[in-house]
Amino acid sequence: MKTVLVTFAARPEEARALLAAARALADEPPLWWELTDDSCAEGYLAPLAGRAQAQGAEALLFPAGKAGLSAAAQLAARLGLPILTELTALTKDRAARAAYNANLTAWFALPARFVATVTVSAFAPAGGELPAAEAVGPQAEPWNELVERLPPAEDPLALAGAERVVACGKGAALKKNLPVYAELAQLLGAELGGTRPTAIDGDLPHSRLIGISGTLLHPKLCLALGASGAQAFAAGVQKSKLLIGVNNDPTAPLFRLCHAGVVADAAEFARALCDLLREQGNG
Amino acid sequence: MKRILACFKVTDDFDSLMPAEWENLGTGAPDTSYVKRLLGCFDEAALENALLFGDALRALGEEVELTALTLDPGYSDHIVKNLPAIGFARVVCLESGADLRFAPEETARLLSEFIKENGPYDAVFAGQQAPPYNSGLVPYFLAARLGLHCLANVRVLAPEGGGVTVLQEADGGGTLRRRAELPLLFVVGNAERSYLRVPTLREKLATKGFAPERRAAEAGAPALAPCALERESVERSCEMIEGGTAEEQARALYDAYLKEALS
Repeated sequence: MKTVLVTFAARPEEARALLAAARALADEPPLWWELTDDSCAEGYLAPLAGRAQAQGAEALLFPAGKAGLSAAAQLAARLGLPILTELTALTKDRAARAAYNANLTAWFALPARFVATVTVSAFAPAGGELPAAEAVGPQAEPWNELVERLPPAEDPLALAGAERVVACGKGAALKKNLPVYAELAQLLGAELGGTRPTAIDGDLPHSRLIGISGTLLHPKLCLALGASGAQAFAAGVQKSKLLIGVNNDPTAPLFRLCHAGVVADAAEFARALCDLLREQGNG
Repeated sequence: MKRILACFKVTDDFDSLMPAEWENLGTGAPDTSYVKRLLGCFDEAALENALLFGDALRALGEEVELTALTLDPGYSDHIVKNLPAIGFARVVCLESGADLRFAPEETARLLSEFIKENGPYDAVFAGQQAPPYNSGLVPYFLAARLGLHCLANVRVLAPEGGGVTVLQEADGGGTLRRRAELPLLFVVGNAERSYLRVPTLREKLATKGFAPERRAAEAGAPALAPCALERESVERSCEMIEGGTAEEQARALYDAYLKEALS
């Protein structure tokens, strides 16, 4: 199968994850097309469609994410190819992704030619040499003008690469208690993240969202405070080596995922733990 | 007159299902007859941002007509009945009765047929994804079928000089500020205003007796349907930490787990 990795410039970690996916899919080494900028997918449609047809590409793999989905979906529509998104597993003839808010995994038989976006955090980065990258530039898109690009306020990969995470749900009452959780995270040497409702309510930036529409974590320690354990969030924390849940509801589904659990008010417990960690000289 | 259309989906509250409902489904759907029906969170934001865009245009002296469009909403009276009260002059429910759970191409085709027949529209809004598939594909397929340029990951938008200025979320949390000309399709993502406004009693009374337009729609087969739906839940035997106070619980957790994890 003739496979092409399509990534955005200066994101080698995505290329290595796509390479791992490509190796699961086919024995032949893939091609690698590197898009020079991720700001407007439409500019790449004609160059990518032309290359895909000229090279006889059978599988075009993009990183799942905002820019990757936008480019992949529009390219699939232009080429009339079937597309699968947010793949979490690949074999030579099947692909899987989450469905029903990550309550189920949907498996699809792979068609002969397709476009796909691949969940980067689901594939361990491939070792060895990457294929030579061919730079692909965009065509001008006069219907729109990029006025400015504001950088993220913080390291965008901080949460994804964190070894320790404090994950807050709605029951943590972040608006009122953010300083407590921020201190707890600092004392634990952890990154602070949250469930979708905490991001929607503006209590945490969206870059701190944990779960199927945010970051899928693989930390050594995750302390989940005031989260009920809805599956969309659970998918983001369930691969933690040590998952500890704190919720005042002993029947919260979160506890079914946890190695250890505490039935307590999240903020009250966080304050007590801060006191203890300070006493122990942490931080 | 500026014509605005917002697409939305009414879905089941899958997080309220009993765990047993997910077992042995094959490729079928779980029994959701007892759970709430709700708006997909991004579609709720799409509806609200269509209204906000209409408000901003009216403030500039433009006449605005707003339409809300959905496909196979099922039981949704509690949602649909409020849409005229908050500003949608027209609410249209396409009804195919088909299994479109994993059919973004067909969904986009059916929506686009209505839009082409009733358009043109200056602005089309759609949420970035909705369960159960969450493929994120419908808005892009819709834009392609309508021949509209598409702005994705929209957080905020405002009319400006006959066009629009948009803030878009970029990968990694950055923000893009972009100007573009209408007509456009906006894919609403993590919007700053994501909750749909609630109608006042007066607004509800003014649209009392409203019924949405219901139209039959004929769906084809999905391009790629799953061959299996599997349950892969992680279940652990959680050790509950005892203690009469938060301080005692914190101490017990520290001794049993955190001390080693932090060393």
